[in-house]
Amino acid sequence: MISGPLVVAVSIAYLLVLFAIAWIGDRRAAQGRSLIDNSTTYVLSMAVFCTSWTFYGSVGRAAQGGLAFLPIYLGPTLVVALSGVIIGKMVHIGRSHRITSIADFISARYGKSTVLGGIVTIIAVTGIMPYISLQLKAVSTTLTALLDWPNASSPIADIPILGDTVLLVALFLAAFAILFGTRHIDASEHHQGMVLAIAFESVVKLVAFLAVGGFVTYHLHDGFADIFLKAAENPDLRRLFTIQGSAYGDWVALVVLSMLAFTCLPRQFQVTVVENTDRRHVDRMVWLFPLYLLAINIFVLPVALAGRMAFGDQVSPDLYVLALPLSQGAEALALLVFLGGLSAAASMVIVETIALSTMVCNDLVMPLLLRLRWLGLAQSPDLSGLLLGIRRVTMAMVVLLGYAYVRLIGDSYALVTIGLTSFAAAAQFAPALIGGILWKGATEKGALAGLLAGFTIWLYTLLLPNFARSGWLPVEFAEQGLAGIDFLKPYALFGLSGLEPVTHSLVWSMLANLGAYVLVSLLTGHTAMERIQASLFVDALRPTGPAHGRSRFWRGTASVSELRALCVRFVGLDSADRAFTHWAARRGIDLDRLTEADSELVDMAETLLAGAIGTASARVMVASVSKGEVVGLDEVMEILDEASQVIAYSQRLEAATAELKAANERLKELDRMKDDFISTVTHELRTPLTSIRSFSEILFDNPAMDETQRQEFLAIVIKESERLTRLINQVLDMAKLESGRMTWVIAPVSPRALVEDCVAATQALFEDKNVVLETDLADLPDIATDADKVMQVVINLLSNAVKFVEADSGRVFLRLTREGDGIRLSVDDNGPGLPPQALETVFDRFLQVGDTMTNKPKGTGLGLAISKTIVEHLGGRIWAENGAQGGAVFTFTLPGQPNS
Amino acid sequence: MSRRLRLTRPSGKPERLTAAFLLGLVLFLPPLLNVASRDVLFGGIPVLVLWLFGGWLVLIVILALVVEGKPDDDARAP
Amino acid sequence: MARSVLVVDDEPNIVLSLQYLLKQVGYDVHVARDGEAALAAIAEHRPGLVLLDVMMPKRDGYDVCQTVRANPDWADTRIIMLTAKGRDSEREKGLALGADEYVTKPFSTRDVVEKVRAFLGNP
Repeated sequence: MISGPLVVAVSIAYLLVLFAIAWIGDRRAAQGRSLIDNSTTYVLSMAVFCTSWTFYGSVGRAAQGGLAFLPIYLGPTLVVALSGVIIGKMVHIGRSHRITSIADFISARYGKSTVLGGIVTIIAVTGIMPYISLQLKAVSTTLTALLDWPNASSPIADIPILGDTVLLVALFLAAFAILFGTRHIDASEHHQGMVLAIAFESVVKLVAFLAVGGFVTYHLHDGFADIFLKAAENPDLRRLFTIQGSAYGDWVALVVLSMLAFTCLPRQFQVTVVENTDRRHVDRMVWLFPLYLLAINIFVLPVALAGRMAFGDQVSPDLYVLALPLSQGAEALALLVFLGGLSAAASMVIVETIALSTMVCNDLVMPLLLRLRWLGLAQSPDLSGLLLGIRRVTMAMVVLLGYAYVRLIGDSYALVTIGLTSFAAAAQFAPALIGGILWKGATEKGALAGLLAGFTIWLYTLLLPNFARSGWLPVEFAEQGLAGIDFLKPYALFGLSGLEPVTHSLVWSMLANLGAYVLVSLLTGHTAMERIQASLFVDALRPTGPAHGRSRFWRGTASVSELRALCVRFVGLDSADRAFTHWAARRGIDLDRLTEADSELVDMAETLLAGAIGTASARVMVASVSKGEVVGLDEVMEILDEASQVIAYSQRLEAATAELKAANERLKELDRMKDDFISTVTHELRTPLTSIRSFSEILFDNPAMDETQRQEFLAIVIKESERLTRLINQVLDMAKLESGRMTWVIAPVSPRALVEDCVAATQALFEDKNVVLETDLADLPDIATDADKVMQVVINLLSNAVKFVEADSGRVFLRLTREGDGIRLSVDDNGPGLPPQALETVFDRFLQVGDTMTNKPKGTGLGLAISKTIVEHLGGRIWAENGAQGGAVFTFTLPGQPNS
Repeated sequence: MSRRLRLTRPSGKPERLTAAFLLGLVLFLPPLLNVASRDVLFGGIPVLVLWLFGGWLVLIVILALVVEGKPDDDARAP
Repeated sequence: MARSVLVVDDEPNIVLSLQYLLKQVGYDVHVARDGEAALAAIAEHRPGLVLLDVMMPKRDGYDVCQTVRANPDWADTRIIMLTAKGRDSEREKGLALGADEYVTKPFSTRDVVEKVRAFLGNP
């Protein structure tokens, strides 16, 4: 038995620790040494997604429906994978427009619409407020369970108000929100202390749940397998291991619902977008956040099964997490679990309260107050105090209303289902939110129609029947439909029956919401402001997007002093001065001399105000001190078209330039190659020509030369002439080959006969040098190829080989074998071989590898290049390597058909 | 001789993440879910539990590999 | 010593013709087939003039010319470059590197002999 005072003391001590952490977080932020500017804290703060509904309710759901609790966490896992398209973009937009809440985001996207901001706020308050109650109720229920164990818990309504710990907790949370949620007038600034405390709470709830999970799984039982095997013996429990046939629809609906809710819940928007300190944190969140969810869910099913095996129906499954350690006398663990649940509840209440109060203040109260001229607010000198006051009062009201709701409706049905009901309410924002950042054509009227349609269906099919079941409305409404019309049954609208209420409501509300959103958007037009904002949001991530020049859309002037006075009134003297000075310094402008504000300064001032009072009100206030308006719709379209045309044009231009550049490079390269070729050919032609001319002149000048020498010189002239002829022929061959003008005669050829012809043609060369030619020619089927060209290649290889081996001791080995349906021919010599670096380049034109000091006869440098071109044209491959004995081996292959 | 082409990996992180998202959809939704939902224990653990938590873990590893991998700019081969 | 000529070229037939011509006039003729052999021969025979081909294996003619000019001991060695490349830029490069004369292949045998004679005088 845990003593009451102990629990209360521990709880209060824990809440005080939260205050201390938040205080440290804010202090460090003020010193410029942020503790939350890291992806881990970012992820932990996002774990505010896991409320006490997760902490206690998951086990409850699992005890009844097996794995049916899981889609709530699979959805967010999936949606963060789309961060590049959705969350990352939202974060980017939120930061650059100083967005303060989801209502502000949607209002800003649709032309800074005051109406939309208000509607979103009303839906959020209606849908989420009860969820806050649910958290407080969880604290109360678990506290009672902890203290009264093993007695049945008493209804909360019976607890006297003054001694009510839950009230104490609620007051603490309200105080926390007020203290750490309104430190800056600029709601788009980060609440670093609050975020740090939330991250801490996420650690506590995870540790607590893992502790109880480990305790149940490894202390009470022998691990996962043990629990599952024991449970499998009970058919009732075994049923939980699979998804029952009819539950698939609900499964899919829950995955979708949790995806949408995760994106659209005001508290998620607060921690994900508004409190984001660095866009790069989103990257790591993509996998770290799902990992957190996985960790906090891993023990859910084992604990649920263990609870059912231990308690049967005697304890509410929602309390298994507490009851299991209590039943074993592990009171310290039970206390830790209670703190974990308290953390989950507290973090949700705090963040949701801050998010809702910002929305209520900026998107509901301020626009109304500013419109009431008799209040004279628009002229009041300092409104920052009023703003903070409104937010603080709203926070206190949100928490206390939540508390009142708990006391009022107690254990009624409405509270139990409110978790998913809230999800479904938040999901109504999804079309306007996600559509708004992906589809420029969406209009304010479309968003309004969608939200109203979806909200109405949600009210009718989910909230009102909940109320009816709780006894606040005639129960016939839920059972028989409005006025008894069968068609209008809230849980089977238009006869759609057989679905869980949440699935049913989601289907109809999303259908209505999305349908109205798309249809009305298609039928209505944009105002100038809508068109501007649409393109700013949708193109936010484009590097050359319009965000860089949004002041272009504003034409007109305002006096600097009036503009400044306006900002001072809302954000205070310090913040306004800092912003104006910073702006002027960045542009090198002397602010004192500037009297007329240009559109850039006006834009800066409006963004500054937007952070404090929301986009829509900021627009109204700036318009009140400036002459001129945003440019007309036609002009907006023109500017945007111009911008996109310029972008498209410059992209095309860039592409064209790049192509031209590449082509030019290529031409230059070709030109250089041609130059090199001509220069090399010239060189190669001049060399034999030099010998011919020299010896001719010598012979001419020395008619008395003796006969042997004359013969010797004439022989040289003849040989060099032959070399010249060969060279010219090969250059022509090469030119023909390269230009594609070579005629090819493809006909069936017997490979062996062809090679034998080559051997015969080169016989004289071998005999002259007394070199042995050995052959190993397989009898192969005919191949289709150009016989003359192939002969040219073989003869070239053979004469090369003869050239490089020693006279008398030289040996050349010619081998013809089958290769697929074609042939493979290799010429192997016992000459000096090739230097390794020449194995590739030997086929280049005019490259001669021969070592001149050994006085080898020189080739033209074109033979191998031509051979390579021929072989490759005929579909084969040619390469050089060094043989085992050190000589060179030239090998080529040819296919049976040139093109196969 | 040959024109030098700059090879760029055609898809960046957003595309790879979206592919992971689609993989998740396939893993966590019918009809593949129906296949995994069998009244069979494997090593003492129901196959559906193994399927969902295993798939979840695999997805997390893939997401981690994608976002912690080299930034897009470096993923270009010359 | 001053009457000796070194012929450097990797084409045996060109070497042969120049050797024949210059011997006929009466010069001492040494030959080398590549750049390295040329430098060795210059060191050994201290020729008064070098007929130096540009395109050679191992070290090319420009390289040899530069090496010779870098050595003060060989300052009085005359160099006539022989090249099969007729571009002006090649010619200028040769002269810039310290060659005394530049002859394009195919050359007139009389012309070459005249040029050698102009530098070395009659043997």
